[in-house]
Amino acid sequence: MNDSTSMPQNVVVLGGTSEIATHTLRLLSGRRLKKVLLVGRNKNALESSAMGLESLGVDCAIHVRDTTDIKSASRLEDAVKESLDTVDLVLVATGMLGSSDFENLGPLGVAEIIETNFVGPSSELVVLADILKRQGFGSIVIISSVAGVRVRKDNFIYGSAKAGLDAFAQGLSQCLAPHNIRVTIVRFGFVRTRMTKGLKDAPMTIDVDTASSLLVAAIEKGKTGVVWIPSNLKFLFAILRALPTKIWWKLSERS
Amino acid sequence: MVGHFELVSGWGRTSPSYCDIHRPISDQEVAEIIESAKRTGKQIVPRGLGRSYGDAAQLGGNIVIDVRSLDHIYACDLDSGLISVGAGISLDALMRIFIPMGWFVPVTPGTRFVTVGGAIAADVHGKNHHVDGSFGNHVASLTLISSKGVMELDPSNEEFWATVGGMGLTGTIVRATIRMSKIETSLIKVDTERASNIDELINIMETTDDNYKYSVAWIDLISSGKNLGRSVLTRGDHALLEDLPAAKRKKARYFDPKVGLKAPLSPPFSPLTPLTVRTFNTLWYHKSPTRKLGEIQEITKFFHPLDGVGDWNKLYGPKGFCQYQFVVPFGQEDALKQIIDATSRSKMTSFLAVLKRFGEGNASHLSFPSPGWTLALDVALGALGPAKYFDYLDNIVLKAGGKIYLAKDSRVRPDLFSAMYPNLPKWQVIRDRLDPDNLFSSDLAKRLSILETK
Ligand SMILES: Cc1cc2nc3c(=O)[nH]c(=O)nc-3n(C[C@H](O)[C@H](O)[C@H](O)COP(=O)(O)OP(=O)(O)OC[C@H]3O[C@@H](n4cnc5c(N)ncnc54)[C@H](O)[C@@H]3O)c2cc1C
Repeated sequence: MNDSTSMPQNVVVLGGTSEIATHTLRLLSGRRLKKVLLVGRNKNALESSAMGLESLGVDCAIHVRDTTDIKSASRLEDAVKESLDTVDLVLVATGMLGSSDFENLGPLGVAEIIETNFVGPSSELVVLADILKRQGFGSIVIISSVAGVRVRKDNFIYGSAKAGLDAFAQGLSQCLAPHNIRVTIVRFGFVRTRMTKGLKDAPMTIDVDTASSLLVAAIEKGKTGVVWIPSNLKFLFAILRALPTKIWWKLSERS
Repeated sequence: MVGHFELVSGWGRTSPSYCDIHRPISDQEVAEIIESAKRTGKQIVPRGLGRSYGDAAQLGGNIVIDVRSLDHIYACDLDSGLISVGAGISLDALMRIFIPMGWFVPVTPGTRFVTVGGAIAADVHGKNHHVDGSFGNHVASLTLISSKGVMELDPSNEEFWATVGGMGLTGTIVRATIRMSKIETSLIKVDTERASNIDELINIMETTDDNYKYSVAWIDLISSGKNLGRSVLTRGDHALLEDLPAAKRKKARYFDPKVGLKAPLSPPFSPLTPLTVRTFNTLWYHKSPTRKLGEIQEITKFFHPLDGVGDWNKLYGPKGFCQYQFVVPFGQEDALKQIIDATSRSKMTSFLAVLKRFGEGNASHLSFPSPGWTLALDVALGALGPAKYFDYLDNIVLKAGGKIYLAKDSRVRPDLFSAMYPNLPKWQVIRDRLDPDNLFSSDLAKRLSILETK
């Protein structure tokens, strides 16, 4: 159950090996976290994430996703039923930056990035939303990115997939609100993680610890709708979004 | 019986969930709902007037039995004050009916809008706990429909004491026989006095509480330093006929309170800001008399001042609020002071808090009252801070050998809860016997793992 300060006990994580997710779960384990179902593609990586959490006293189950299996959705539902009594929070943290060199990636490579960041999580969200609806409460936190707010050459495939997920989440939020399910879309700026390793810092770069503690704070305050982390990104992107294309191109070329 | 889904929450308006609400109009229908739940595999929680603050009377995605229509009076003996009623009847109704006949409810919480079932299930206490104990002490017998069927229980059964304070987890109480308390008038003779700090307050209460049937202190939790814990004590007894001026004796048992105006629809933010609360607390303290003896007050003013404002819970804003109530044993006054001090230093702005001395507890396994000091305070939620502040208080309370009150709780750690209630395993054994199929549960029970045996 969620307590009155929005702290969840049972959590499903899509993208169970994501660094932001792992750090967030660590923080939640100091609060009310009891049991987690980690969903992802890589069994070994999921198992080692699970081990880390178990050492903090959190019960863990893993579910290995296979997107090529059309029965994948119902398998996810079974996994949730088997491992969790209630689903208080669904944390969507799936993320694959990939490259934006589409010529080299080819059609399949591009499809994979979009599949991982958008198609996979959206279709899984449909399954999970149904579970939440039936249990009569719950929250969904979706990790989005400013990369999808104003896309640029360097990461536009990832950015466009995140933009899709972000838009999907906005619609889902409206559909689920009457069912007592709160959806929060968290637009992160540049967070230093494994995924962004080797890339140059962008304005307002933060580390994973800061990112996840700001995320937990947003949950605790019961925020819904769109949350920017760090919060000043909201103003920065209000400007960036309004820039004429030519200027944006020049600007993003230089960074 | 068909139900329909409704969004329900407790009085604090936190963590609501959609539940399949059933409103049976007879004991028979309650039994039918229970039988049909056995077939569908759904779980059940009973619900009264929803005045518990947290998630005790809700069960997301499952069945809520709203017992409010079971509000009959089956029998009453106006000589002995023994009445048999449906568990859905409210204390408000009992007062309206029986006060004019010279009988008062044996225990009343700070609101009249609770059901008899809710009063038993939470084993509620009132301002007379130090003299009369809690509600369960005045229940002569009750009828419980558990998953095993209909049972008549009285204080000689351990199932009775598992149901008193059992938070609806043993089954649905459908009837109860209660011993009312005799009164001559519908008025209270009240002594009011101020205490300028917590030490003075403790001293006055320790030495003179026993002279009164009813006693409670309202504490200002914002002032600090030498004003720490400054408070106004109100204590009293039912006025006797001879306490009234002759002109008033004719209508001495008149009781017909008006239900208050509704608070303005839920405001999108809370008007109870640190500044307004601080100002209110200060005004209120200075407006109270330093000492005033023998004032004749109406029952509503003395017991239920908040009932005069309908839906006041909405004033805490859209994120709701939490009432934190704990008890620490006598001898642990330092823990009490530590909490008052921490609160006055913290950014938590609690509206008036209420302090009371509890007397002896009863045989209920999960009942809250036990000898010691109990303090209740309200904090608005929706900001950073309350969660960790309450966790901090829990630790002080546990270390002092105290506990928090389930009817008010919405956030305690499950492991701390079970440490605070050492009789939990004993209760679980009895409850498993009453409900082997785990038919009864609640959001609260799940959140605190109350039904999970270690
Ligand atoms: C303003 C205010 C002041 C209060 N002051 C006090 C006080 O001074 N002292 C005190 O002790 N409490 C106090 N309370 C708390 C309140 O008295 C309890 O929470 C009480 O249980 C509420 O009764 P209800 O009918 O609203 O029950 P609900 O809130 O609907 O239910 C409470 C619990 O009782 C169970 N229950 C309800 N009906 C039945 C039934 N028929 N059979 C089995 N289980 C049932 C529910 O499952 C739930 O666990 C106060 C609450 C408010 C809002």
